[in-house]
Amino acid sequence: MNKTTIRNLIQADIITMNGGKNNLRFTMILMLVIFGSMGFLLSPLMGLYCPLMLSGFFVPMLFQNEMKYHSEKMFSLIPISRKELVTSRFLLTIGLYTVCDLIFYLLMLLSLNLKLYRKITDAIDIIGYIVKKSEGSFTELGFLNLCYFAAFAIGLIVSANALRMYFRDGELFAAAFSITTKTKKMPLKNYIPAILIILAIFIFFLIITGIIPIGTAMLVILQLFIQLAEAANGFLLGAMLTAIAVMEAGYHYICTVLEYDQKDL
Amino acid sequence: MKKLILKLASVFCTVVMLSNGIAVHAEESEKIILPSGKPLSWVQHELEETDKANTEENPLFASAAVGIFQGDEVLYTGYFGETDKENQIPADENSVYEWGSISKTLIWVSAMQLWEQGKLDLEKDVREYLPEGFFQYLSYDEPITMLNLMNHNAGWQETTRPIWETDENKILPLREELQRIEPEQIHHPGEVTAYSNYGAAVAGYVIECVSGMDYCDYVHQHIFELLGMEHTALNPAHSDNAFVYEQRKKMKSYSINTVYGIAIDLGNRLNYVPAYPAGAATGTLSDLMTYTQAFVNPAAPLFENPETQKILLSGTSFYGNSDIPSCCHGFWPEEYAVRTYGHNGGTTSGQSNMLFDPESGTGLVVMTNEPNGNWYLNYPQVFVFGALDAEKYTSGSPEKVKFDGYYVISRSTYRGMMKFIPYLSAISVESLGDTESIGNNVYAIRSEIEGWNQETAMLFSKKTYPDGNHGLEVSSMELIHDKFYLLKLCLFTIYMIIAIASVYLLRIRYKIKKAGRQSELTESSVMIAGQLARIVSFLTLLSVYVICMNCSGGIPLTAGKIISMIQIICMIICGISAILPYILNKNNKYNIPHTIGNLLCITAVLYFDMYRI
Repeated sequence: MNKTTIRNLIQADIITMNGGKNNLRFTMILMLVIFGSMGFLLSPLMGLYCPLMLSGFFVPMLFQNEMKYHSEKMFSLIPISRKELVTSRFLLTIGLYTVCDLIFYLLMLLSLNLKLYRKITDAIDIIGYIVKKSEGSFTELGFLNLCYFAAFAIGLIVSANALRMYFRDGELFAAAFSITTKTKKMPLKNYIPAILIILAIFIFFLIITGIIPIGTAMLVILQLFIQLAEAANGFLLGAMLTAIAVMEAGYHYICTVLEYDQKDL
Repeated sequence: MKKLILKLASVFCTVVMLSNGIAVHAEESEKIILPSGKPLSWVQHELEETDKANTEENPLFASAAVGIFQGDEVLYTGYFGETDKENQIPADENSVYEWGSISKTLIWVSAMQLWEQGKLDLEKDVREYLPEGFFQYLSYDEPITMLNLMNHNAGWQETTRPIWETDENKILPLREELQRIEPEQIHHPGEVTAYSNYGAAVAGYVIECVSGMDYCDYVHQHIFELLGMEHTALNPAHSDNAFVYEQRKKMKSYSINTVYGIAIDLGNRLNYVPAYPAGAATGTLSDLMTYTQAFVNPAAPLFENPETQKILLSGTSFYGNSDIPSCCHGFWPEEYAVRTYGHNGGTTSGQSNMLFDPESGTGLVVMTNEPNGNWYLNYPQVFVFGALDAEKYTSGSPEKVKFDGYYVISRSTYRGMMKFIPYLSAISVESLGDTESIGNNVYAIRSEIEGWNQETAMLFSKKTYPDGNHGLEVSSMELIHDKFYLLKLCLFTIYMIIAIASVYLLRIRYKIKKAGRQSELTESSVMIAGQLARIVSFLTLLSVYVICMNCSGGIPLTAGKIISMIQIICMIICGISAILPYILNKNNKYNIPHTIGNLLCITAVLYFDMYRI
């Protein structure tokens, strides 16, 4: 892999991204402003919507022009390897997502320190309330970190998965986000992840209600998570969740490289 | 017909009286003022209001028996809820509950009886009373005295073997059981307070050796019979009292989830304690009240000389350099509006509490059939004895103190495969609230009592250990400062991440193979073996916790041996997997991260003693 090629590809993607009508970008900025303001006025926890929201819209937003004008085939004409294309886009997506997230995290830290939301409205201070209820287990910063890193990790996994889906079938992906007018029926196997997620949530509820009696096995993991969340203001758990998310993203990257290499363009 | 009506009416009246708990007339209860400053009638009203709020749709508790007395007069007895919800058996004066660790007070009373007879020296090494070679794993030569056992500072860690037995026929004799569960001695005697069931049970065996009688027989003869306690058993399977044996089988245990509004039926939970002096006593509320009343009786019916009772309730360890006792010959002093003495207890089937104030002669006994406790265990003591006024010790402008860092609980396992457990429950004292120094190396943390509009304080003292480290003493345990806690937790986290990473590497390998490709990352079988070993090692660690939870805090010897074997095999595979790739393919760029992963896994297994039985 050539580093210069990757750099050039990233730059080309940024140019494409900024061209044309960016309706999604406008929507994104609007939502960021709304949730950012709510983060200052209501609770820094509102800022959590940012990583979750970003993760859902990041890939479509980055590549909407390409999807709209079907310019993805261009990359099969220029002298680059498919691996370089996949690598550049993973780096761009994950890099931008991390930077955006970090900025939002720093803003929410500022909100937590300024505590404007306590002065402006009579609304309940959610973080303060939870910290009080935890009887000293969490600090305000620790709780914010815990929620934020968890949201970041989920977002990172969702972004990587979205990019993989995009590389696998750009048309289907565009249709799912209604970016192109061309409709394509989603194959049944694409619903499997959604079904698995619903099933996992269902099983999770069965476990926490004790219907599936593996509570003790879950307890050690839960206790470890709580301890990691409490120690060092939640940064340890944050590091662990980030590590898991990076591994998952790495897995999606390798799968994408393999799948895209075999794809008939 | 008339007779039948009269009979039914009398039965109805009895039931009403028993269910509502009557001992003193209503007018009288208005006049009786408890140490909390509240009239007895108010306490009675609070207890019964909670009972009224307890419904099928909104279960707050399963059952509770509450007794309040002053001197030899029983002021109030209340039986609430049902001991068997399915068969609608209400709690009544025949219900038997488990004392749990309150049973330990029987050991301490017996010890003081033998002491006053000159048969037992509290400051003499207990090995002089025990058979030769009784202890197998002592690390230090210093004497272990009866006072060490009473103060829970003989230096033992928590036992790593299960202390409960579910099969009545498998209960071992006391001596054999004590040798089976003997934990390692990790501190010098007298250095660290760490509540120990094993230590207390050893004290029970000392009573047996000194008196020349079976411990159970000794207690029956010198305590139960003396006080007329006819409905209390001490033997692990309750076989020493036919009434208790039958009644205990009728009682069920429950776990109430007030959030979901459900009562989980835990069944009979007949778990036996072969090291029975530490917590096997079971009996009625009335008997436990009789026993507790003996301690506020100036005539001290349990001792030949009333002075012995006074000595029993005198401090054997104190908070810092103050005169506030933290332990009184095995009895725990607790600071409410007045200073109380007593003990609480918990088993797998219920919790109990016994408190008394010798000054006013007031006492409170609560027994439940819920292992997680309930409202009656947490609130009546404040109703009866009041709350410690925060200003009592912290008046003026006390110096604010900051305790940084993390503290691990002394009552835990620090050697063996359960070593990782205390690191999952470390405490940051800073997060508990503002700490105030009240002099003499004693500190207080203020807190507000919910619904009382009053501030109370939790007391603790700072201790410096011979190695220069420090700890915080809180009643029956200490919190030991751990300078390297975060580092240890990091190691544990990395160990976990490495196991998860190994799962991903195997997933990647599968994908690459499926795509018909080759990669240095996935080709080496030695590397795959290492990845599998790291996953198995982590799953084995999780199994330790699961077994430990299911076997009431211990690992059975056979399971321990298997787990130890698996961890040793995993370590060997990781070791080979770390070295061999350099011999087979030294140009593989993944060799270094792979070796680091394996070495970190081995480090974690070694540091956290995961291979030790």
